[in-house]
Amino acid sequence: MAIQNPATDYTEYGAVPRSVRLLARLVPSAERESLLGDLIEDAACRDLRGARRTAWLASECATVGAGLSLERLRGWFVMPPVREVVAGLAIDGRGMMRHGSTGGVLRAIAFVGSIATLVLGVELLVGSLMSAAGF
Amino acid sequence: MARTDLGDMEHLVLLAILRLGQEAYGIPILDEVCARSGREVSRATVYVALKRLEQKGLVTSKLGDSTPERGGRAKRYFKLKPSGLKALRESREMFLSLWRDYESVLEKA
Repeated sequence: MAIQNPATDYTEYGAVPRSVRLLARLVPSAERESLLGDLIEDAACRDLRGARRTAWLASECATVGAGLSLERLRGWFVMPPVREVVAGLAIDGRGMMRHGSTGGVLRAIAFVGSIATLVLGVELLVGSLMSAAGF
Repeated sequence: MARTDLGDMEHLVLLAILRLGQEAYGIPILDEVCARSGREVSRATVYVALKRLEQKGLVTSKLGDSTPERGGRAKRYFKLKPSGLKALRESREMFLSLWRDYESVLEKA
């Protein structure tokens, strides 16, 4: 199936209001055009016109864009399995204790603990936002 | 190989893609999920689920032809991968097994 450039092959491209095109920037570029196509088709099925059509397109586009952005954000903060982190720390810590560098171990634990807390906080925040938004 | 855990919405979307076959793109998938689940599901929820399923390697997508009624924009068609079918089968088995054990409990309740 041939994929054509929608921007140049059809004059209907302009049928998407400017505000909706701006909101569509929230959607990852790979999915943007097909999503806008779905919205245009659905708006036509619902027989929406004028300001109502613009408002409907904008709200749908904003919701999908926000959802996909949050999903992408969550993908950036992947928590490593806690069991593996604890096992790794235990192995490394035991080795350092044997060599008498207790201060180094405590500093490392404090550092790792602060990073883990930060990551966990972001994970919880994004998770809560997504749950609240109904995803 | 580890079992792929499916969320509620991911499960519904996979079933919708399976049922729609060659016609599985955004709008019919959303309609199918709403009709089958009897819930008012938002478009964003379905698109996020589709994204997750693609990231998990359970579905694949490709662009179709551009159509004038969509302002020249192509449809993105989704298709189950063998791993997606396997995940659905495993999920079904798990629920059937659970229900076999709880059927009598539910009847008594």
